[in-house]
Order: sequence, then structure tokens, then C-alpha cells
Amino acid sequence: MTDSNAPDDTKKSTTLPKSFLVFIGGSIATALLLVLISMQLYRDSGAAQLDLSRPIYESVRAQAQESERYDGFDASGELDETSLKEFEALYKEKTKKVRTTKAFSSSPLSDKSLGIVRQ
Amino acid sequence: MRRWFLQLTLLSAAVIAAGVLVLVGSSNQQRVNAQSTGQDGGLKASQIEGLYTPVSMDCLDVKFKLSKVHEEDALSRVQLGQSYESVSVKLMERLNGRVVENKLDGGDLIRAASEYEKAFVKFKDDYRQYESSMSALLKSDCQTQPQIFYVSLQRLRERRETVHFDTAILSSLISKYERAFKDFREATAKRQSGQASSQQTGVQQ
Repeated sequence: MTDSNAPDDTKKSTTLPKSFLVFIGGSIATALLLVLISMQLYRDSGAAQLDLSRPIYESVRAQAQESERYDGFDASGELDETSLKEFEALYKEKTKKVRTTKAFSSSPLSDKSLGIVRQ
Repeated sequence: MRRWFLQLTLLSAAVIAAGVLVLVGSSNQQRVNAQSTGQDGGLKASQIEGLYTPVSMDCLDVKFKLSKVHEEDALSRVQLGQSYESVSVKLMERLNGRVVENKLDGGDLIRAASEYEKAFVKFKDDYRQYESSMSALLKSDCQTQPQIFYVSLQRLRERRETVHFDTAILSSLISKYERAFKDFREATAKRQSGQASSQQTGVQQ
């Protein structure tokens, strides 16, 4: 026969210990802090500016993909006339485009191009 | 059970709200920086002139055109950056490595490559500043504050000019390395022919 008025020791507590709540809260806060730091690094390191997977660069993304692998000049070996000739050819080919680049010229930001009228 | 769940939710909400506040604060600060006088504090003569010159523009149209320029710039930056990097890592560094490995005199080549590397770092830094200004300008309000927008646009133009100048410097350094390479090649050919003739003399003796 059981005593119905006796306190029930096996009854579970409805509140969690404070330390557990602090642990959960601390974990969330740490995660948020790390996200903030990594976002700041992503922005400040310049990676964000080269990241063409961002939605704002969708229209130019396809043009940025390199079509073929570039091996360059061999890192070791003798330097004879043949290898120097090979280097010269590779160098001329690779630098042809960058030497003649007109990138970042001032014209796209001129008043005329943007349609700004100074009164 | 309900009580701890409520406590947990409130705590999480408070932490998330704090995070959002920090992000919004950082974003607003950037916007304010872009619209105000700039990091160095003062306005340049051209910017003061821009501040007092009335301008008229179709704000949405200007922003649309700027966003197109922004996209094209990103593509140029990526493509140029890849090419500059390849020239440095896959050509200059490798030739310099082989010069050292073969114990040849390539001082000019190494100096030219070092200058090129420094100029490339400057190009990347200058582009980063330019892109930050562009992003801030695209977020700024040109309808209610057209003068401030115009001043920011002028600063953006200056930064773009700097980036353009950097590309010109890099092109000239590419040519400089090529000249150093030609001198090196001539010197190597002379040395090899000298060695060959001395070997022939040795054989005849």
C-alpha cells in the first residue's frame, strides 16, 4: 500500500539548471561572434570583391571561368638556349593581353557616360 | 519544461538581436563614411567644388549605370588578377628559381620580379578601396542628397584613376622584366660561347 500524500522524489524538475542555459546561450553568442569576425575578414581581405558567385555578379560569372589550365614554365631544369626560347614564347603569349589592357579607364564614370548635368 | 524553453528562446533572441545591431551599426558606419568627408578627414578642392556645383541627374539611371560598371569591373579585376598572378607565379618566379638553381647571375631579373610583386599588391589594395567606395556609393541616397552623392562620385573617380595607373605600372614592369630577361639571355649566350671556345682551345692544345 502506497501513501498518496508522501512527496514524490522521482518527479522531474520542470526547469533546467542555470549552467545549461548559460552554456547554450554562450554557444550561440560564440557562433554569432565567429560569423561576424569571418564576415569582416571576408570583406576586408578582398575575397568578397573577387567572389563572382555573389548574386550581384550573376551576369558576368560565366565569362570569368578559365577555359584551359595554364602550366607555365617548368620550375626546374637547365637553362640553355632552348629553355630560354621556350620562356620567351610563354612570356610573350601570357603578357600580350595584360600589356594592352585599358581596364579601369575613367570614361565609364564621366558625367557624360552617367548622364549627369552640372548646372 | 515550458519555463526553460521560454528562457532559452528569450536568451537566443537577445543574442541574435545584439548580433543584428552590430551588423547594422557597421553597415551604417560604412555608409556614413562614404557620404562624409572620407577617411583622411578633409575635402579636396575638386570635392569642395562638387559640393557647391548644382547637378541634375536621373538618380535611378545613374545607379543602374554604376551597377553595370561595378559588374564589369569585378570581371576585369578577376581576369586581370589571374593573368598578373600567372605571370608572377608561373613565369617570373619559376625562371628566377631556375636561375638560382643553375647558379647564374640574375640579379636584375629578381629585382624586376620583386618590383612587380609589390606593384601587384598595391593594385589589389587600391582596387579593394575603389570597390568599397563603389559599393558604398551604390547604397547611398542620391535622391535627397545629390551633392553628397556627387562628391562621393568624384572620390570614386580618383580611386579608379589610381587603379588604372596601377595597371599601367604593372604593364611597364612586365616590359622591364622582359628587358632584364633579354640582357640575361645575351649574357648567358656570351658566357656559353666563351666556355665553348675555351674548351676548343683546350682540346687543340
